[in-house]
Amino acid sequence: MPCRKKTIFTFLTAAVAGVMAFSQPVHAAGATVASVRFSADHFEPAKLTVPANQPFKVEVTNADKKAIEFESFDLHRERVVRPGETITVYMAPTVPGHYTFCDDFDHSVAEGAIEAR
Amino acid sequence: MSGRTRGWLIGLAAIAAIQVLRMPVRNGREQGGFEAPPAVRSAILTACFQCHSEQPRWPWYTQLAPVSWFIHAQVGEARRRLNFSTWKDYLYDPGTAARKFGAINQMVRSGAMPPWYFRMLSARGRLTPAQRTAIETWAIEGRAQALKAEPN
Repeated sequence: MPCRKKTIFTFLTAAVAGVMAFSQPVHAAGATVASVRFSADHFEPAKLTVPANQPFKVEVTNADKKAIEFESFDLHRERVVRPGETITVYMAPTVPGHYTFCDDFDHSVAEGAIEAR
Repeated sequence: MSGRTRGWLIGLAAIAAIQVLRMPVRNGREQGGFEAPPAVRSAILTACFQCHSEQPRWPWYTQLAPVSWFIHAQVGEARRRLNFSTWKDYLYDPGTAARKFGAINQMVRSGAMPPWYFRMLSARGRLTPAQRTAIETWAIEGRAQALKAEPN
């Protein structure tokens, strides 16, 4: 296949795959919302409790002067939150357990936790 | 026994002794759900899954200390940062998906990934320019779609 055609083909298949990928997740409107606020180098509250086996959302507000990266390696989430911004992180139903999150830009910040039960 | 022979024997004995601490890498649960155009999927399966998934192949030398210590640390960190075995999970949150697509594009474009030691050790780590372009195009498009789907 000539190079130009190959590039167009690759681009189109990537576009189709992208559309298919994002048509899948359906976020329940009535999902539990847990809120956490970051300021003065810590998350408040440090522990969130959510129902297990149900989708939920975490609203993260950054009231600090620096950007943070809200990261949960346990729940596979990674989001940048700029100063003064509030974001919503969508979480899939999860089994009961203890899942940590942190500011991945600054590891001196104490970890927070999400308790699913 | 000459000093040189004694040195070799001590070295071999030390390597044998540290095998009790060899820390072999284990594969975890495969969630599946990674989808991409065939050319991209094939390139990622070959060059990235070795560290960024729960289904890598482990050559014999990766089971031997001290190589296993290094591999254990590298793969653990690689899986924490991007794990194609939990790809479906990333897509559930469009903001996270956008970050992952963005990071893939950046890492492949800059040549930081696959890392130099993997490219040196294995032909699987050597992406062709066409494969790099295919991955970059896919990642750019994926990021754009994710940002469109992101309500924040």
